[in-house]
Amino acid sequence: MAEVLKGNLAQLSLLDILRMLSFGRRSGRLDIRQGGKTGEIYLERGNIVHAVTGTQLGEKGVYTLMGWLEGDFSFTPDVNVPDHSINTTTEQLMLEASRQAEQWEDIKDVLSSTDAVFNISPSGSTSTVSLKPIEWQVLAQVNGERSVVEIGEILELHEFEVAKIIYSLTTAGLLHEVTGTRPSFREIVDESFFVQLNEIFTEVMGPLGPVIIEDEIRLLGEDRAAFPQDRAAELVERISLEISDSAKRAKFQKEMVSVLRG
Amino acid sequence: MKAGLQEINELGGVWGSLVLNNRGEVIVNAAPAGLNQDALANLTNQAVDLLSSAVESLPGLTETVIHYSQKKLFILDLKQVVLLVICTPSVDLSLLRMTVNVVVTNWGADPKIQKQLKDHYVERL
Repeated sequence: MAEVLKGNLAQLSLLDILRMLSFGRRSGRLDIRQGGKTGEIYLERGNIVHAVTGTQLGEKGVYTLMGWLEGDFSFTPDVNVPDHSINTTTEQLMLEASRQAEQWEDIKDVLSSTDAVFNISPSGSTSTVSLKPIEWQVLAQVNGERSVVEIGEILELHEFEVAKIIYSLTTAGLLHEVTGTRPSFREIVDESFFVQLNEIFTEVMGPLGPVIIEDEIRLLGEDRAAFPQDRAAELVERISLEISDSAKRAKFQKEMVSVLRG
Repeated sequence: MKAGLQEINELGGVWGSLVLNNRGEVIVNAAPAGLNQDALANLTNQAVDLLSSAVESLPGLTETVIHYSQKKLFILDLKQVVLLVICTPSVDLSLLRMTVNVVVTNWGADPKIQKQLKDHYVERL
């Protein structure tokens, strides 16, 4: 049986893949792998009829898989469906998934992945914050070591629910993502890179340039003093999207590509 | 156009690049000479098919990246034509996207290339 479609969720979201397969009225199995975790979604003539990941089945399984922001997928056509665990129509399922995907887009701004680790922010919130019981339960599990997935497992909550709560606690100033959880052997960019970036970007954007750069570094969950070399191009690309004039953006990219390529 | 493709090819992790018409036929080829022609035809047709179905499902989408175990295909819809970049899995996609944008912006400002692209336009099947 040939796999007709393979890819990575970082480039094509699960929702987009399901839309494509559903629109094309495809039958088969979509396998999704993220680290050691796996999930399967079965389609019959474009209808999502069964999903499973870990102990979660049906709609719950689909929504959990929808939260996987990274990982590999492959679609194998014409596979027998072992079960029919989904009662919701595909249209309703996609609508809910789409609503969750929109929320994931916001969540992604503060949560690099569901394996991210958070800690209590020492500075705290600048205003009064009231917490719902479930938010308090999540906050109580945050210890600078547990990931979003692990907190979900402890509280028996859906990853999406935990991510949503962590997002709101982070934007309220109560939490921050722990940096340095990535391997420490990553190469760090030289300060001269930031000097050139500041100079070239400020030329286009004016005095707001350095502020935007700092914002983007923060949104990537990184620290300027230890910014990894392998994310330098990603930072430059994100910054370049702030330039609305396409000719100026291309000029900025050209200069920065030359800096990045040394 | 070949100079632009060669500029893309100079990027680490890029194996080769091509400009295709909307039916997957090669217009400009800067892919490695040793590449099997049948495999290349298969790849270009697959790229245009995938782009077409993706664009049909997601209007407004202009770029698709397909990850295989041994390579990555970066497919960019330029409306008149399709740009296909064949990469190794380790390619820095941000750097590639920016390099491609610089090249494509230069093409947009070059009347000779614009005419060439217009001449090669065919409707998608």
